[in-house]
Amino acid sequence: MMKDKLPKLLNDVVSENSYDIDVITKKLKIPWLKLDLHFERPTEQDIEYLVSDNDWRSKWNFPNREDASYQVKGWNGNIFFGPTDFKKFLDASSIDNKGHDHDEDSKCRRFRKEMEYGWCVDNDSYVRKQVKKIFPDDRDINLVNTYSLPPGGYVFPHRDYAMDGMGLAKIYVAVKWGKGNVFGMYGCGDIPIEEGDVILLNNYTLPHWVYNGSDEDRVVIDISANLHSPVIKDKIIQAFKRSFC
Amino acid sequence: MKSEFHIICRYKNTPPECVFSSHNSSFKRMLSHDNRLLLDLDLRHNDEIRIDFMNKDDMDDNVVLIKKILIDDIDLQHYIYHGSFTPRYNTEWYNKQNPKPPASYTPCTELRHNGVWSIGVQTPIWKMIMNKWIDDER
Repeated sequence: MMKDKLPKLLNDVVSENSYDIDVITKKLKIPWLKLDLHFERPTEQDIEYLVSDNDWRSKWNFPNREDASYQVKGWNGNIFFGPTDFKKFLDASSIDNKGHDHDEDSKCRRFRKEMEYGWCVDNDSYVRKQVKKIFPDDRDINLVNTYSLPPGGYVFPHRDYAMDGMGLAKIYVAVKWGKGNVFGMYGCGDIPIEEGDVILLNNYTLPHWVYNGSDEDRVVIDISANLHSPVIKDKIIQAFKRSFC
Repeated sequence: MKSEFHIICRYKNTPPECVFSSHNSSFKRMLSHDNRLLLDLDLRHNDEIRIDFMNKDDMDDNVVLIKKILIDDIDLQHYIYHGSFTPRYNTEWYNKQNPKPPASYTPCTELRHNGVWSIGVQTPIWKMIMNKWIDDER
C-alpha cells in the first residue's frame, strides 16, 4: 500500500485516529448531544420525592442571593449523590474558587478524589436505580441532583463556569417535561427536549435560560460523572457519529 | 522508543559531551561537529527528554546547537522551541553579570553553558502533536 511510504506522523494519524471522548467533550464547543439513553417513567410518588422543599441556592452558598433573586423564579434542586461532609466540601471549594463563580458540577468534579462522596437515598430509590444503570460504579459519579421548576418558573440567561475547562459535561435527564417548557441556548435555538430525553449538555460555552410554560412542574435529573465510564462513553460516541458522520 | 537527535556542535579543541535522557533511560555521548544520534529512549506516557551539556569549556567556547529531534520517526518540528534550558552557570562568569541571567529560559536551542535542556513529551507522539495543535490558541 502507498501508506507505507507516508511520513510517520501522517501514517500514524491515518491508521490510529479514532473517537476521543476528551476531544469531543472538552475541545469542541458542541452545545448539546442527545444520547440514546432512557430513564424509566417515574411514578407520581417518585416525582414528589425529586422535587425539593430545600433552598438550593442557600445550600450552595450562592453569592448575591438577594440581589440576583429576580433572575430566578421557582427554580430549586435537591442532591441525591455528592460530598458526604457538605460543609467541609463548601469550605474547601470556597477557598479553591478564589472568588470565581464555578458551577456545582465542576466543584464536585474538582474534589471527587479528595473527599468522601456517597448517596443520600436508599438503594431502591427511583433516581439511584436509574443512575446505576448507566454508572454501576459509584466512583464514576461526582454529583446527582434534580432541578425543579414550577409552572411559570424561570432562570434568566446566564453562563456557567467550570474550573476544569469542560464543555459537554452535564447529563441532563428530562424526567418530567410538559409541553411549553423551554431550554434556550443562545444562537442555537431551543434544545429540542422531550420528556424522557437524556441530553449531554454544554452549559459552559453559551448563555442559556429555562422557562416552564407548561401547567405542571418541570423536573430534571442532573448527573456529573466520569465520561470515560464505558456505557456513557459509548453513548456519547454513538451520538456524535449520528450527528456528524 | 526510537529517538533521533540532529545536533551541530561548535568547538576547536573540546568536543561537547552530553547526556541524553528520559525518566528511565540515559545515554552519554561525546559529540562531533555534525551529529545524528540514534538512541533508544525509554519514554513513558508522560515523560521528559533531557540533554545535559556536561563539559562547557569557556576557553574553547564550545556550543551545542539542537537542530532537530525525531521521536518514533516523528519530527517534533517547531515544538522543540517549547524546550527549556536550565544552565549551570560558571560561577566566576555569573558573579560578574549585572543584571543576573535567568535561572532558566525558553525558547532555547543553543546551549552555551553547562546545563540541562528539557522538553515534556507524551506518547504516542502523534497524539501529543495533535493535542498541541488543539491547545494552540493563536
